[in-house]
Amino acid sequence: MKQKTHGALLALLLVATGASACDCAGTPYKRIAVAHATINAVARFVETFDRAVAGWMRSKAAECKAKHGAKTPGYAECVKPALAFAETWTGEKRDGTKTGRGVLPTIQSTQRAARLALDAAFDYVKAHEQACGKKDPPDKACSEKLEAWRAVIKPGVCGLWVIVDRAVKLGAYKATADPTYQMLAGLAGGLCK
Amino acid sequence: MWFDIAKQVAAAVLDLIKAAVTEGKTDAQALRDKPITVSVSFAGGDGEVVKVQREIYADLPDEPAGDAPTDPGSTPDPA
Repeated sequence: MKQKTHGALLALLLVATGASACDCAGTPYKRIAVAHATINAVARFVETFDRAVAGWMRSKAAECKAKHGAKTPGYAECVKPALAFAETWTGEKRDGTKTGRGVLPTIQSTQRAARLALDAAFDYVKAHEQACGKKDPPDKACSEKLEAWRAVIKPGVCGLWVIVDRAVKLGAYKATADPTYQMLAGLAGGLCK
Repeated sequence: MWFDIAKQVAAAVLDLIKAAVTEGKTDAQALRDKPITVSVSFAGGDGEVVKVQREIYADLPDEPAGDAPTDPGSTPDPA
């Protein structure tokens, strides 16, 4: 069942990322729907990634506690890489301050902004259906509206791509075990050059 | 006669153009009508990492605030 779900998800993601790399995929309305699907897919990836990293951090903390004991300088030193990574991800400091500069809040804000851009694109297409149906050459204003979400989500996706790479190097996340990673790779490959 | 045929052809072409533009409109309209929410919502929570992060902080030795580890590889705020 899990395999089947993964397979279906991967198929959707490949379609989504393939379409996102091509400015000419489908009707304007289809392009909007595919963009929404891509944003959803990134969200699912982020949730999977967060769970994987949390599991790694738990295991690191347990190892460090067994080795040094809690509340010791040795423990603090031992968990330092895990905490540093978590701070970059969440943007939360030890005193509970939320800097808002973490990768996760950045993804959340850029996703919201990308959805707003897609809503604006939908409204534009609906008001200019004839112009937006032109293909050779495509209507410039319409194309810009349909592509705006990509520039908006770019900081989130590219930040995510960098931190996923770090997580792989730390052993906190196994890309090969996650089919949704291919989706992120495709999307980031198109956006983060 | 020719005028009627031309009219029919023109109507068919217009139908094709219309279909090419409006295909998927229902799905897109449904997405447009949905309220904007943060996609990564963790079912209303903050996610797992932040919970583990807080647990680990609680197990650290006491130290003045602001001495938490800093990440040399932190990515700058892209916003």
